[in-house]
Amino acid sequence: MNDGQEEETRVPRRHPVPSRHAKIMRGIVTPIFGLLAVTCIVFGILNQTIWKPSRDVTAVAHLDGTRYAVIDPGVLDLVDKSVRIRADAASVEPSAGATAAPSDDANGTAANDPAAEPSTCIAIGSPKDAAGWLSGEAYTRVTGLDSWSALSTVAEKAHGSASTSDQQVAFADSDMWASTSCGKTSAALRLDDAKATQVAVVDFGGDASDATISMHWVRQSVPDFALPWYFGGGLCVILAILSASVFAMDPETRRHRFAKVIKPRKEKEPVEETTTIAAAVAGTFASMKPRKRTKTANGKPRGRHGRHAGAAADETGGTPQIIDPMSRNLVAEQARHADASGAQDGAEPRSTTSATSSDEATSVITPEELQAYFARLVSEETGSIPAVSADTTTETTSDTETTTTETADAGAEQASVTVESVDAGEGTDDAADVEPAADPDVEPDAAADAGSETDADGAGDDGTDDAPTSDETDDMDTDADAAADAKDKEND
Amino acid sequence: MTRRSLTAVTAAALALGMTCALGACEGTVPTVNAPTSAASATPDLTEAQERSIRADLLATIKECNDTKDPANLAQAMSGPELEIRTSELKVAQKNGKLDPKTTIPDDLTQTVIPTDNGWPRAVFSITTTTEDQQSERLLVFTQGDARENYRLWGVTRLFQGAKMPKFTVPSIGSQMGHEDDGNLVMTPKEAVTRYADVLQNGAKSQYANDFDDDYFRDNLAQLSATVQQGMERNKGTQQQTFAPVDGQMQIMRSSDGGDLVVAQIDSVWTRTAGEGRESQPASDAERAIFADGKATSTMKATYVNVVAIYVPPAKSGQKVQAVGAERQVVKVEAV
Repeated sequence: MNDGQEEETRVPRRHPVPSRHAKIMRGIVTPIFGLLAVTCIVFGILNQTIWKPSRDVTAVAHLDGTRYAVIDPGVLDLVDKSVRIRADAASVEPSAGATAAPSDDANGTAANDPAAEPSTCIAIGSPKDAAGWLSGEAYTRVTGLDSWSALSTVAEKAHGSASTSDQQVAFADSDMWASTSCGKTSAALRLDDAKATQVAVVDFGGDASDATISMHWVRQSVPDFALPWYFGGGLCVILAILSASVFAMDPETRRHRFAKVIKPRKEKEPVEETTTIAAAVAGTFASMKPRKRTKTANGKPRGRHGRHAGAAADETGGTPQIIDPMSRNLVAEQARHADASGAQDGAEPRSTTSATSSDEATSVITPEELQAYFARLVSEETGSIPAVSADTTTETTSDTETTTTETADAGAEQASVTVESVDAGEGTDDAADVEPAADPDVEPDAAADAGSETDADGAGDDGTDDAPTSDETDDMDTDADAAADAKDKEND
Repeated sequence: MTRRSLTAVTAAALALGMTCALGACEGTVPTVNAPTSAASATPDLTEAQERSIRADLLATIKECNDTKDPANLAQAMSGPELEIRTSELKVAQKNGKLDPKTTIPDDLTQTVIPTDNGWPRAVFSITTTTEDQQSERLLVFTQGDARENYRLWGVTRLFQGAKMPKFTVPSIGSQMGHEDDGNLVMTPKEAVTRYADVLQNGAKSQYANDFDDDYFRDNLAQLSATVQQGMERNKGTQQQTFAPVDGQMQIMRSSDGGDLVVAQIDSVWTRTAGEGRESQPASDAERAIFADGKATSTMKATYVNVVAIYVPPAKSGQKVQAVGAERQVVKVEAV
């Protein structure tokens, strides 16, 4: 019936010509995304090839009228650890008392030769050594990169006073420098592993005019600008495909299809299915809340503690069953008792049906299937009764069984005491009949209880006086006693 | 038509230019992070630098040794060692060969590099034993000024079995001490002054018990006693005075908080012969230095002593201990 309605509503929407929505998506949006994708990929390729950032970075600083320049700590390894420094001076005016000439031997003989030609030297050292050498001197600080091609500089004057020692050595001969390089008016020094704590000191040997300091790095890792483009391109490709396919579909149709896939048995009208955003949000939040337990018909939660739950159900429902599927052919019995049992028993099926009927809302089983299942279930359960209640009266046995199963631990003590002291023999005799049908675990206690309590309730009265065990036992135990009392009355 | 195509061309060029500008960037310019080196003291020299400095200096010294010419010694030496080696070379000129005690091994057992920022700076290096199994040398290199280079300031021969204090490894660097360092048994300056007093007065010194016995002190006492005996025989007198030289003191803090002090103590040994006799040089070195001088009744020999003293921390309960010394006559005159 529902299917028929759906067919009716769907048929007129299936036009051979695409809808306006589809036209827009396929005719405009998809090409736009496609074009963007191509552009992105093209830019990605360009960035990876001809626009690739240059590995070589050269930055230059221009100085004038200064003798010393210091490249600050942290600048040498600013772009990469491998750096080449070059200092060039157009002309150098020898300053008075210049001690600039490097000597071939490291013994400082040059210090005694102030008439030597001024020369340009670059030295690598620690900041404190550079500060010591430059104390009292004016110098130019190279503080970093202004741009990729220009170094930033600051003119400074070092604290302290210039050395007055008569043992001064030439700049290049100082012990303090880790490495030096000198030339007449230009010098170049290559550093493979520049550290942030190192500085470079440039000495032009005199006031240099129109001097330049250039630093050249070869970048080992070049920023990758191609990857974002490729990523964007990929995204555009995906969007183009989606807008040509899924997004081009009529929204309702799309939803229908998805709805059909997900919930094929939904009975509601298609119009009702469209949920508002508010409802969707509310639903999302609702799903986060702790869900209420569905309860059985008798108001008890279908607990995961099977024993207690079962007992609770039985207390109200009345007639629990013990079924040992191992010892019986259920199928045969089902066939045998199919008709008769249907009307025979009211209590047990009722509880079961009510329990399952609460599940009906969420089940995917058709009512017909359910009906059949119940029928089968009922026949099974009714069929089992004669086997269990073969020797004892139905009600008493089942009652005692359940109480004992529940109070197994507590009752066991009492039971064992009473059984031993009063009438073990009879108990076992009685139990022998029940045994085969009973659950192996519950069996001994149940049997003992069934046997002893029925017989030994008179003795149980005796036992109350000398029964510290019963005093010690908890509520469950008293329940058991109550049950036993009730049963006694029945027996009487 | 032409206008339209012109617009199109312009637009295309503009678009191309913009995309080129967009695409061909080099990334952001890196900025300099404030260096953190100020927070942690770094050694003034690396071990490699120390090795190279020492090698250069020893090469220069070797040249001077070989030529027995002290002219270039000032390039490599300063302080007491310059005086001592100059004298030693003079003695060698006379005697034809350099005293074996002047040997400085090339290999090190340990170097102590300071982390101090200022000047003067001192580097302590302990050599291995010499090839003829003389004891290890404690070399002290100093750099007086940022524009000077390190020079060998002092050499002491460590006493056999002397227990040297421990120092921080050179890659971390040690701290240089000061003359008036506290928390020690006595300040380094006091230690040197008192040790000079102990050398001069021996067991009679009021500070004698502040110092552990050492080879140098015992040796001097023995020498003094021997000379005294000789002098008494001819009714002569002898007197030796010890005085620390101001400013000639290098101190390095050990890792246990003590100070290793290397200081110059000058001593003047005046011997007066009695009964109208001439007072003669007391040793080959004195004789070589005295050379062709005309002996008189009184002879005054000036010695340069370099002592290495370990001043333990106040709480250690240890005595001040001399661990090494060097002594060389630098001037002998008849007065």
